[in-house]
Amino acid sequence: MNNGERLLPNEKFKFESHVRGDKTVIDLKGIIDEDSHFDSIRKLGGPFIFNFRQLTSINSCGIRSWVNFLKELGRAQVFYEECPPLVVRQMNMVPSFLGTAQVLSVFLPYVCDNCEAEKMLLANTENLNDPSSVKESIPCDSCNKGEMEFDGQPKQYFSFKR
Amino acid sequence: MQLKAINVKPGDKDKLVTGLFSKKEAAEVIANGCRHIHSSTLGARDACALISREMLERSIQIPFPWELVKDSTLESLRTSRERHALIHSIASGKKITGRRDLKEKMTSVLEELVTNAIYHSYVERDDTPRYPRQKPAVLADSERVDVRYHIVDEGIYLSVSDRGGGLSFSSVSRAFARCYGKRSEAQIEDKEGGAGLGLYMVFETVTHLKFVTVPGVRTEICCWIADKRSFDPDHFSLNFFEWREK
Repeated sequence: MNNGERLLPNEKFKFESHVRGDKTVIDLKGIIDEDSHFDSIRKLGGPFIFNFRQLTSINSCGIRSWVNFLKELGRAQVFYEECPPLVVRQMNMVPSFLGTAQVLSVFLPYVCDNCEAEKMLLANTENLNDPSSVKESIPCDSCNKGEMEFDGQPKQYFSFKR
Repeated sequence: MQLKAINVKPGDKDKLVTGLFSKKEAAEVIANGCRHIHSSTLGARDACALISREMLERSIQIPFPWELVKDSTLESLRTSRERHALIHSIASGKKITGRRDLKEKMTSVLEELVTNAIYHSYVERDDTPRYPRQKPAVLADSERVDVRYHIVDEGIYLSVSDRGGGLSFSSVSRAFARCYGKRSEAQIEDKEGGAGLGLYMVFETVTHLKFVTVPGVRTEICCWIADKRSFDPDHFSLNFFEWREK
């Protein structure tokens, strides 16, 4: 038996919840795919802040499950925070993945042109209304020689804000 | 969907379209039935476009430059659950360590292509899928999905093939028309089975995409994902070749 066969559906996706002010914060972990179910999250009641920091993968059926889940939430306020590049990519490709949710923060990926070290900077989206304000490069604190460049095109990266 | 400034009529399936396009513009051409499109600053003189032209004119198969990989690794799988372990194993390889962007793109593309191959290529006589998407699939003895990959500094070559041959060009063109034409929930199919987003997500992610299908016999989808250092948003292609067994 290989690793895949040991992987039960409910082991691929997990979440933890806690309360912040009047909102329920949901930390999403692992893989969202056709086996992911969000009923137990819905029952917690909103408004919700979904934290995507530890999400590792989402496939096309996972996107559909998530979009249907957002519909089921009805008028509950929804916020996204700490969105890694893989989540930003989905928001840009499939706008209904974002729906009416408000994005609080995203990770900006940088890579060093000298040592190829990678770094994620967390940015509040309210401070990034103009994509050109994204720093194109920052000093590399790994090799202290090179410049870390933004790993992508800022205009494209923030197209979900349109 | 309306065509913009590109002289392709519905039914021009073997016409080769070259020029400088966005992925959305290219998808409009494909949605109208054109099976071969190359975007490049070199236009019709682009090396890959010249190869497509040669293949269409002479009805022969010639590999594109990005397919010329030595020592690619072949893995075969026969269950839907094996795909996670396979993708994890490739993503954990030494040659992709520290290349976050490439790793994420490879994982996403492979997930969609392998899942499609398992659940959509093997069909019954009435064209209904043999393996329902809602359940784990274990392919029959005569069936399997082959994954071939090769990772180099410039990018990743991936090939996913099945022995079903159930993928039609119309399913590709319909998916593109829906996903690029609508920026709403209508992008997503709400039927049993897939979400209808997979091929759109693959095309958005890769640089070159090639389908080779022998209806009822086999389908191979291969692609090239350029590393960010060699990535050029103006340079991409899609080719859909349908061959008949002689």
